[in-house]
Amino acid sequence: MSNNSQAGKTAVLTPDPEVEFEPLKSATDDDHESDSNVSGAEHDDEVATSAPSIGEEAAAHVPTGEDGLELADARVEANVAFEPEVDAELAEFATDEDIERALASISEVVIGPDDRVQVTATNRYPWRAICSLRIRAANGRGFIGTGFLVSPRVLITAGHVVFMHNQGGWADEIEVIPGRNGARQPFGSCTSKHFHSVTGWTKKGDRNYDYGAIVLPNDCRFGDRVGWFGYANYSDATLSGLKVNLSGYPGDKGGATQWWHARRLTNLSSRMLRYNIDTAGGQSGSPVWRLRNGQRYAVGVHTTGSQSGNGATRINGPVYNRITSWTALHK
Amino acid sequence: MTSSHVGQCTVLVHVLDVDGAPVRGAMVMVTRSSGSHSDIAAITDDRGVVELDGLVPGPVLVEAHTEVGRSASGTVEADVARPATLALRIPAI
Repeated sequence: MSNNSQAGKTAVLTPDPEVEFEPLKSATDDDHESDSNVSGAEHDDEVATSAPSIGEEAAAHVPTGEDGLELADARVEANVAFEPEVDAELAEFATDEDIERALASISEVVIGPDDRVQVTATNRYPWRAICSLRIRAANGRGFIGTGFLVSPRVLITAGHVVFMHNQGGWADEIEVIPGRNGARQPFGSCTSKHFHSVTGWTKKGDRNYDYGAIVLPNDCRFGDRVGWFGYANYSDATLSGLKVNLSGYPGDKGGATQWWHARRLTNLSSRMLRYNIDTAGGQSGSPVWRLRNGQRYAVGVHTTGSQSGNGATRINGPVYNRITSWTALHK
Repeated sequence: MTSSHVGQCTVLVHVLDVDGAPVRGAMVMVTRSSGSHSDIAAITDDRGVVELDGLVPGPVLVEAHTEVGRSASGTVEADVARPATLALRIPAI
């Protein structure tokens, strides 16, 4: 599938037979032509890919070994409302028996329309690879969003986070805060003024191309410490009905705390994924990921809310290749 | 322009406290619209104002949340012809 890069070491992993790679279409798919607020020659398309990395201080826990949700299926299926600040790490790595004991200690209430779970273990992977974003648009207006690391220096987010058509275009600057938890910034923050997107978004405003990247300064290689998400271009057969996770920084929860939710995909097209995962403004750019054999692979970039199902830009072949080109450009 | 393109409507939201003073730093977002809307949140400026754009025509439900957990919501009709305006009053604790 890809090269696993950690601290200068590389290893070629055996490709996952379920992962399908579409050939790079840059010669004909002009809408995925890279765009940036920083001019300069780009590297050739021959690039290295990266599997997920958990970064430093690796967790001593054993991966679940199964496809699925960050929380045990039994917990989600029980559809129980949780006390605030449930530790998602316990939920992620606990056995089914541990989960049942935890559930028994939590008051069971009727579920409302919102059953998101706050992530408090934001100093642990994968949560720490998800970043709170404070955006200053070109016209000086402020926004909040979410992004996730896919390499030491590159975050992926929504195109409309880095380029806002009615707010002056390219963002002026974005503050990146990995694993933010309220007032706590366990890894500090950095500010970026270097962004990428594609012309399908920047020139045409087409939501099918609503994705982009934030490049961290070379002296701010957050990914080396907190790790990063893998990403994959899966087939329709694999994605259909797949359980996916989504976590980000919603404004209706104060904008500074991370909230997770998960459901199966309800619909997909060649460019978009749809799901009934609860989200709110501020979660634009959140990773939509598959947990498989203890590894996290982003399959989409959350972008929109809609009555017909919230949506993400699907990481299809061209998106996969474009993300890979950006990570290769900014090692 | 296809349905996958961003909408052309804009909503100006003015967030006020119970005394009518502008609320700075509130997070304002669209929670329901007639189509798809970006899941980004705008932060009110010193005048308590944000501009939400890229919307399709029709009713839009807007929420404003302060960092201390107070909120207000309201509905406005988005129209291509002109920006719609909405005033939201954050209740006292």
